[in-house]
Amino acid sequence: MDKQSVFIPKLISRKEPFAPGHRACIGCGEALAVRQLCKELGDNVIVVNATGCMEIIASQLPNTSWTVPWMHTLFENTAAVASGASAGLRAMKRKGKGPSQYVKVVGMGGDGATSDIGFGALSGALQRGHDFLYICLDNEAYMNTGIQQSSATPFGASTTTGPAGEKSLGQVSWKKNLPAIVAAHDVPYVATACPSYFHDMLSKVRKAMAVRGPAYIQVLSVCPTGWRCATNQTIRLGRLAVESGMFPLYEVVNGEYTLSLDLPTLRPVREYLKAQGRFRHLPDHEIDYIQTRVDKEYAKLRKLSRVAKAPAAARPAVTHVPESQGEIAAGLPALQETVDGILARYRNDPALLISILQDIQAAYNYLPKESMERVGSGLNIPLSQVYSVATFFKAFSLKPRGRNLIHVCLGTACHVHGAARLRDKIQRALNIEPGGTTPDFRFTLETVNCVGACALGPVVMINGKYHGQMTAQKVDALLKSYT
Amino acid sequence: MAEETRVGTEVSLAVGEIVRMVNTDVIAAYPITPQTHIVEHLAELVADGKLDADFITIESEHSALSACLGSAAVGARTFTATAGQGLELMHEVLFVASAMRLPIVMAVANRALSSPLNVWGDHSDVMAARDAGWIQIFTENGQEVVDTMLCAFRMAEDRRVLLPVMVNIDGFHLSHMIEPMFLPSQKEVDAFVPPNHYPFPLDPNKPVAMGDFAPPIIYTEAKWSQEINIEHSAPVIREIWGEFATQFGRTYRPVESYRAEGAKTLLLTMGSFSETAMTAVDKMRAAGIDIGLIRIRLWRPFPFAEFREAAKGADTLIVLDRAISFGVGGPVAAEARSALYPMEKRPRVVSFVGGLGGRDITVAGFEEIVKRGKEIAAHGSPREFEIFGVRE
Repeated sequence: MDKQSVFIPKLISRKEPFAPGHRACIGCGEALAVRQLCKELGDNVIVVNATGCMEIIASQLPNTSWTVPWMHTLFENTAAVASGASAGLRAMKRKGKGPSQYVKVVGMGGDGATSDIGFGALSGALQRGHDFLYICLDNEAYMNTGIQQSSATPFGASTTTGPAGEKSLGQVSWKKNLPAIVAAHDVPYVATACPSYFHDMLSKVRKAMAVRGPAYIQVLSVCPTGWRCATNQTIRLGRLAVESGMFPLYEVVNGEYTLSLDLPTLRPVREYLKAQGRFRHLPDHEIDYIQTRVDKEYAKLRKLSRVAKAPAAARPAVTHVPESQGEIAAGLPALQETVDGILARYRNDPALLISILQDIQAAYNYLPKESMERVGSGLNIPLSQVYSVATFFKAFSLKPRGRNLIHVCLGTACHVHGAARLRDKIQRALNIEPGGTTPDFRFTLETVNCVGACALGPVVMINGKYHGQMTAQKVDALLKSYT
Repeated sequence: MAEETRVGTEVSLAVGEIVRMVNTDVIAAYPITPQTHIVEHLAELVADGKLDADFITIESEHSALSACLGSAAVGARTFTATAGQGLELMHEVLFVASAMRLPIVMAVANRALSSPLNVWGDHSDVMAARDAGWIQIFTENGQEVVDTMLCAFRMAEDRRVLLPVMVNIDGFHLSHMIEPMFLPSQKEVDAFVPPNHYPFPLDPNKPVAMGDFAPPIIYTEAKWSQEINIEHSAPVIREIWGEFATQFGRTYRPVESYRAEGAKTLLLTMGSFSETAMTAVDKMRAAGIDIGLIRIRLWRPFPFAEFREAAKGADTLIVLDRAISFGVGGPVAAEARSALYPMEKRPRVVSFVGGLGGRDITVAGFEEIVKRGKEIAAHGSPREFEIFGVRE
């Protein structure tokens, strides 16, 4: 698992594609998950949502929390609708119609919609190999209709249709292992995730988004209402689920299992179970049974898996040509070698950190986070030190940048000659804010406070080349000359 | 028309040809008899590169129509076909397609419903789907199927309509017929069916939310607007048929009459049986029997005015249904009665159910139906409706 939690806030978009104001219960792990997921999914997605909590809480007419294109039709057909949308986009693209950029279709459904009623549709869509990402928001029962048992409800949990009673323990069969069933479809990418480990969750979304084919992520979403726990326990319970081995985090990339968080010793399941009212009735010997079974399942998974080591697990196969710098950097198998080469050039000298980072940026146009981890371990300095340098200088970018870097000078001399108008014109022409990058990665726009060429003002610098006495009228032609 | 070519082919294949000529983007279909020849032909056209479409070999009819929802919602021209049980498995999705205003065209090779299993033609499947909010058209012969298919894409995608359209083709009796048909030229198709421009597609460049959750405070308004919408589609349907007549010289109307002028007894049919009924009417007329035929082509939205106009002046209307609404009788007869009721002077409706599960009704059969219908009109029947040709 990535060890960057301290710096994650710097890497996460401040945009909120899943807008606040929805009707989720207090402490809803699913709404938390969707909020974070959407930050990583970005703008170029179409979300197809199954009936369930997420649809009900976030889309009540006339309001919606969805700022990306979103569609809900029925309960059991999400994967099928996603198939059709994906095929429609593909056919139209071939014929020169529809959105010009690459658009990912993302299906979202609860555990009931995914592992029960929509199971056939999901299996069909996975097998056909459509290009889509399916995210199962697993809160382990039909929460929207009032906590009824699903095939994802864990052993021993009491639900309203599988209640514990004199003669019953509640759910008496083991939770359906849906990620394994999905992996059996031979799809490029399968993962489990939990918003309690949201940096891990988001890195999985990033990998899934780079796949051109079916990808599946099952997100454990703590439901205080249905699990009968305090609403401030959402994050803690997610961690306990993972650390007890009840819900291990792993990836299956092209059939190869990798544990995202390898635990030499699991926390006792008792700690996890005792924190929830749905397991309150379980006698000790049943808890012991669960412990035995969890140990066995975890050992099985561990045997199947290799353990994730920095920088990251194997990347899913990208079967199509990557469409962005970000994808290129993320998918570059040569990253380690490149960074090691740069480090060797500077004799692994920590005093030359800035030069090292400059060289890495020259190679990738930005500083991929895996590269910084490599630099930290290569120079034997804390990762925090690498980040402090990387984030201090404006010249370094932690986000992928465009092929052409535009600097609009807003120094005094340029300012009085109308530099602000130039900046506005470029913003409008490219439809990005300063600091932003066009979706096709052609341009990144930045502003600077002086480029030391006041006599030429107003100045626009592109890829280090000065364009003096610029006017708004000349901007279009200038931009056109950079591809 | 000069540019059309006359070909002899199977009706199912002709359906495929029209889907090809309108340059459909996505076909999602699950095989079911007697629809199979339509989708097999389309799969072949895609495999041979004659149609540039994504053919989704989907895992069920429920998913087939669901995939069509997704495809139509991103703005792709979308087609599917089904029959019988398949239409019933789609049932839930039918309502979503119409309420979400998604212009999907679907051919239904009408088939009987289980149990007992029967793959042959009748109207049980579509009658169970009549309230789903789709435009529903019944066809009589191969040429009408070809022409209706062409018009269906126009109707569905017209910005004033934006509704799914179901083209009903009697299973086997029509779908598997080899008939001479005029097929339009590509140029004529391009002129008649413009590219699909769905006004509110799912597009990240202009995000929309579709299929939100509607509490009681707004649900009624949503359904009312859907009703207004399908009612308003009727004049557009007529307009498109009018344009078709101008371009191709064949005229289609919501309700057709055959030798009905002045007739005191009328027969009412839907679908391919009408051809046999016409022959029977000719024969009976030649024998001096007072009889005419009316045929409902546009089943939804129901053409009240045209139907009343066609039925007025008659004393008896004999309705032949190819489906049973159990505990009631013929669904078309029930609707005909209700449509005629506000008329001051209205024909008496006599209801027959027949031709179930592919059982044929011959010319002689229709003569018998008319004979018995006239008896019932004069003397009554112990039953609300009678089943033609049943062995008890």
